[in-house]
Amino acid sequence: MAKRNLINIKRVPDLLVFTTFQPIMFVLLFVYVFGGAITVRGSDYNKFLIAGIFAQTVIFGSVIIGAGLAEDILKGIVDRFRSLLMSLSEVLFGRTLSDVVNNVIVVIVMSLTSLAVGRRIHTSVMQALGGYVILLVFAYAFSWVMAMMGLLAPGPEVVNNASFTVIFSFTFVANIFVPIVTLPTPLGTFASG
Amino acid sequence: MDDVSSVTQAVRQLFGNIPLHTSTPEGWAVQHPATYTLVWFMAILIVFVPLTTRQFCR
Repeated sequence: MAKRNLINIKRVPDLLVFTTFQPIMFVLLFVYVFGGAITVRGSDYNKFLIAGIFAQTVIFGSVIIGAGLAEDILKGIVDRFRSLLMSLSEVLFGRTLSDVVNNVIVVIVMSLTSLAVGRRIHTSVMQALGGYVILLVFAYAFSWVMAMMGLLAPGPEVVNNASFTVIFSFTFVANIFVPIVTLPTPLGTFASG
Repeated sequence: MDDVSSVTQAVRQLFGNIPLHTSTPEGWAVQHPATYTLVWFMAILIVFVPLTTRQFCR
């Protein structure tokens, strides 16, 4: 089932193009648009920002799973799977698994882009790998949440709108773009957990 | 609450991108970001895997 989704990437190469271009765009946009205007006390902003962009991009990527599921249901593909007596949970595990593969590509592309704009990882290989694992693990859990949204929404368009409302609140009321100490108290409490 | 913060904080720490001189944010989650993220990961899967699967199979 994961293979079906990965084959889909091969059949619709545009998807892969945008999957790879979007993280490049995110890194460049934020580094060059915000980087010049914002300073974080004690550091240059880009150094602060990069980890946040990584997190944000994998979250944004997870919207696809919800919309994809909603579309599969709408088109009756899920009914066809059901009539083939396939285990439907396999469909979900396949989807979420192919999200992981997708995120691996995205993270690699973002790392290369950050390298190109002069950002380096300053720790050991093991620690850096740990960072990547944390990102992928987090994105995997998020895929399941977004899958649920895809199932509850009446159609793919609604998934998009609903997901972005949730995602924007979670990514902006956090330490991705600004240090938590600069947020007003209620938002800071939400952001720092 | 917002796990996005702890993920970001964890990645920042593990990549060595924590700015010098910035005050450590308060809150257990941001001070132990990697642990918090893993706990959050388990919790989400425990709740959402069965829930989503049930919803889907209906």
